[in-house]
Amino acid sequence: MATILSMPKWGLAMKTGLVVAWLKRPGEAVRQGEPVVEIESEKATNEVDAPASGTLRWIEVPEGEKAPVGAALAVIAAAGEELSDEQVAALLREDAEIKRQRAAQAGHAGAATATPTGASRTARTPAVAGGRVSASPAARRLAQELSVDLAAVTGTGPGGMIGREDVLRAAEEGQAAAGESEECTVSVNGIATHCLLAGPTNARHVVFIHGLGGSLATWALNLSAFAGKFRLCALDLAGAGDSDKPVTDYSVAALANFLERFLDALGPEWQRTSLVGHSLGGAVALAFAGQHPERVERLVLVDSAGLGTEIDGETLDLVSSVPTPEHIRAELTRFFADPTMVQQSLVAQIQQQRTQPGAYEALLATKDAAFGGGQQHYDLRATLAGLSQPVLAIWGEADGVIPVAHAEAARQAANGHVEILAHCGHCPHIERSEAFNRAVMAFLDEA
Amino acid sequence: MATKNDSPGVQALDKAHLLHMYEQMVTIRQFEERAGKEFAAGKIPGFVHLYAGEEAVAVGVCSHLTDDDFITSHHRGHGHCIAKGVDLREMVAELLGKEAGACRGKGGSMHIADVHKGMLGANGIVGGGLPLATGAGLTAKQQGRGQVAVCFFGDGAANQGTFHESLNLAGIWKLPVVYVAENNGYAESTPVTYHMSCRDIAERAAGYHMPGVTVDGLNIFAVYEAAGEAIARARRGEGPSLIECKTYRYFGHFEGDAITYRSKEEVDSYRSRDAIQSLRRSLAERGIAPDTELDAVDEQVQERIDDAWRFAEAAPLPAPEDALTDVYVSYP
Amino acid sequence: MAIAIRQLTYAQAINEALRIEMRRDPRVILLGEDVAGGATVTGFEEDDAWGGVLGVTKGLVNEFGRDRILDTPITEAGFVGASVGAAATGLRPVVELMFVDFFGVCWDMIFDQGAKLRYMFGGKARCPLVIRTMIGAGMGAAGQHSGCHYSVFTHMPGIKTVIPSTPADAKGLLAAAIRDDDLVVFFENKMLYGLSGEVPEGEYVIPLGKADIKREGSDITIVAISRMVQQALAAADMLAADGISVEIVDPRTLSPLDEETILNSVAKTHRLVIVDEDNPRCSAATDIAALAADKAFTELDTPIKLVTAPHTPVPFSPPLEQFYIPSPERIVATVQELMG
Repeated sequence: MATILSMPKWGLAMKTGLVVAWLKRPGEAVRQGEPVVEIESEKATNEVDAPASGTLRWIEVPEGEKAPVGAALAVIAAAGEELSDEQVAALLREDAEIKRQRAAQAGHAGAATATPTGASRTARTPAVAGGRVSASPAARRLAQELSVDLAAVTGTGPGGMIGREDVLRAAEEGQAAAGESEECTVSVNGIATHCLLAGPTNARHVVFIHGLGGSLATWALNLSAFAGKFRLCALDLAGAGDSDKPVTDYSVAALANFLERFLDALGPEWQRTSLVGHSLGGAVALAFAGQHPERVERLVLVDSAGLGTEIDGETLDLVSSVPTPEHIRAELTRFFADPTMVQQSLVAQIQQQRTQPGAYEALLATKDAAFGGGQQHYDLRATLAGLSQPVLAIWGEADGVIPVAHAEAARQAANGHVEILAHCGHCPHIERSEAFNRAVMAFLDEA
Repeated sequence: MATKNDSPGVQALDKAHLLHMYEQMVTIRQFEERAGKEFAAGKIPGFVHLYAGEEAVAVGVCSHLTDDDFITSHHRGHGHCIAKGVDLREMVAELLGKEAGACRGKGGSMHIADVHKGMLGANGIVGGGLPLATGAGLTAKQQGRGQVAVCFFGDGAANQGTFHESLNLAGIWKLPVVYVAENNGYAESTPVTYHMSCRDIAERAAGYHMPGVTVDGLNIFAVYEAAGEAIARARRGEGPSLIECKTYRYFGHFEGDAITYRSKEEVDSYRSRDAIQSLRRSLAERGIAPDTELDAVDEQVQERIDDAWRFAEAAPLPAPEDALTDVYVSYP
Repeated sequence: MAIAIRQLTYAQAINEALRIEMRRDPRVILLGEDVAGGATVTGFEEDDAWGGVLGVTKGLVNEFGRDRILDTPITEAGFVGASVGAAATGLRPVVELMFVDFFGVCWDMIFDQGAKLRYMFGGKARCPLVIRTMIGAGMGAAGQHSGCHYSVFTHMPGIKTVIPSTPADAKGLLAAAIRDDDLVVFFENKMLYGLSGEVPEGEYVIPLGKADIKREGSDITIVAISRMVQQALAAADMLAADGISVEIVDPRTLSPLDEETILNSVAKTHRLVIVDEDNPRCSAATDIAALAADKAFTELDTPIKLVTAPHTPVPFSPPLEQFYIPSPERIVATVQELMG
């Protein structure tokens, strides 16, 4: 079966991309994960990897042309699959049709339910039995293309089988509530702070806080899913991402204060919010929760700092080293259980950030404040144990940076939960993004 | 039954013609004996059915035919191929399944054909050639230039429905077809005295209102004469005939046949009436060609058979993908 | 060149194709039982008593004479085999096997001789023969005169199978079959002989191996064979009232099969029903279903459904025969089941 290569969405803000260069010609074989095309967005130029192995059958957007996020860039035929020009055109037509439908529905408030043509529908029953989802081949393919989780789709076909219409409806419902995402800059005591806002304004509020050496881009695989159900904000902390990088105090305490002022600046609707913090961002969130417990609805700590003394020294060394692609690749490799997660585009993205003016200095300052001497300075276990609101520690089982054992500290809280994800390193929100999204969304959504 | 050594038709045969017929018979005999040896040595895939002993029928009939005339044959078809002029090298190559074979290796012994020489194929279905020859007769009649179709079939086929249907059709449409029954006394392992409800196949001709004669198939002159009459009749537009040639195959139904159903005495008795030896004697007695001259012919034939085998053994097999070609003229 | 349009029946269209091709090529001859009828009867020297049992070849002997229109005795193996032999030696015969159910009597000549001689002779021979034969139930002709069985012929390498559903298709496809150099079996549904339709005048050819979209639609693809095209069209009208848009694909030729048109249609509608009057086991319907399951797997939103005759011979009594033949109602029910 053929696969459509679409214009990626790097972060919520990206709207269009420019095709800089095709790295493969029509007729050439491609391997899944192999770079196929170079795309330039407003932020960066990156390579896009082939989503599937096969042969590059057709290039839809040539070099030098722009296309919106999600638009079809090329058709990759499966190995041995022969597609006539008519079939290629049909594939592209259908792909555009699906995306057009989704876009049309996306502006509506509330969930839009599409009724397929035909007579009466059978009662909507879940299509999962014994772990295997009942879905037609076409529905499976569509679900893959649209990143719809079949387990969450209700099927209306024979015996509750999920059909294409069901998948389309689920995709629309997921998108419909999302609304537009907003990229903005908030001034926090003179520090220009870059952030993204998305999701229905009347939904639960969630703030995402990245870790050492990261930025709001770390949440790229999560925000679309959350934006369907939550009003979210992801920020670049002071000294990171596209926010200002003044020479200042970058300790956890200072960053927690920064967070408080940032939320004040966002507006009264952010007075009380849930927090999701990764790594050092988890420590920041935890510290904030300890100081302002009335402002924190629920807390999610993702492979968080602050729950023990151990931290991987080599990772810290690599973070501190000169931001060359080799160093960054080596650093990033330690973040994942599966080294193939470190794609060229990720390395390039990180390098671009680390080489901005002041970025390297701010990074070193932050690292030294929290982890100078190769150990964690901040022990927030007592703070955690004293929290009454629901707390979830979610951790990668194979975390090579901060040991998974630290997650157990969450059990000391009155309403503490621990979730360990297998086959996963320090960044479960990237490496096991679907499972992460499901688990965290379910945790945040509980009544 | 008549031996027609002195009949007018035979008298008209000159030495060249007689030597040609002798050479053809010897070619068939040596070809079959060589095939039998090579088959026993495991060189030939599939089945072979040897014609040795019956040479006089093929040669006696085909001597009257040109490339413009048609013949159909059966599973014991090597003799007809040779008598109709199919190339020896192509024949051996076909037995070995080589690309240079008459059928590009796609048919094998039972399906050797050369349509351009009017040889419409050996046939693996007993009785299969009868309607085909009748159809060739229909073409001949439509084309109106005096072509003839000859159908060689065995005593076994004489009972098949296709025999009866074909003779009837040829009769009602007066087609130029000569049906030549090679009665070698056995249909596989079953003797004709059991399997046939009449004594001679030629008796059945009356049922289809056409001339039917029985001749000594071991006598080249008898075959030649009867065939000549029937073929001339057909060319004149007077319709079909049936000729039954009583003959004998020296080897089994197929190579590998234990031939338990025939006695050694019977085989020896037929060998003593060998058609080639008879012709030799006749040519010597009439002073047409002495033994030495005929021995020389034998040697030349041996050379050509050897050459054909050398050629065929060296020839390449077809590529496996060739299995996919030649099903249709075009598809779609 | 086809210019004007007028109405002909399916039978008349076939007659016209034969006439045009016989004028065009003197090597084309017709053979079969009673294709003229009355052979050697006084008064029928140049006239036909029947012109075919259902009159399809009526009048041809008047123009072409009894040297080119040959009545045969009832000896299928003999005259079908003779047609093979004639085709292999330079004629272009069109032989009629009156009812397809008789193929057992001459099957060797068709499948072991005619279909295989080109291949077995290494491509050095050809059999440009057309076998016309009647198929189809509905006339009360019972078990030995009502079958379809084109699947058996389609199965054999070396045979091409053509099954027209309209008069215009019948004329163009028969012309193509006669001009084709391979063995083509041309299946005429006897229940369609009276069907009228627009048929272009003059000479035209519809290429073998090209399907036809008889009705465009978007919700479901129905592949229908022979008279089932007409049944499917009736079903589509009924379904349109329910807002279901049916696309009907008529393969017209089963061997070679126009896979692309069928697969493109399934890629468009994502649902496939096949309607086939033949018995269901090892049929054209299962063949096409396997094709879609293989090459359109990820396009399918619902299982492939086959609407066929049952696994029985054709019954005689009218209510039984009507039960046997796939009806528009049965097609509608199957589609509705898939559409939910």
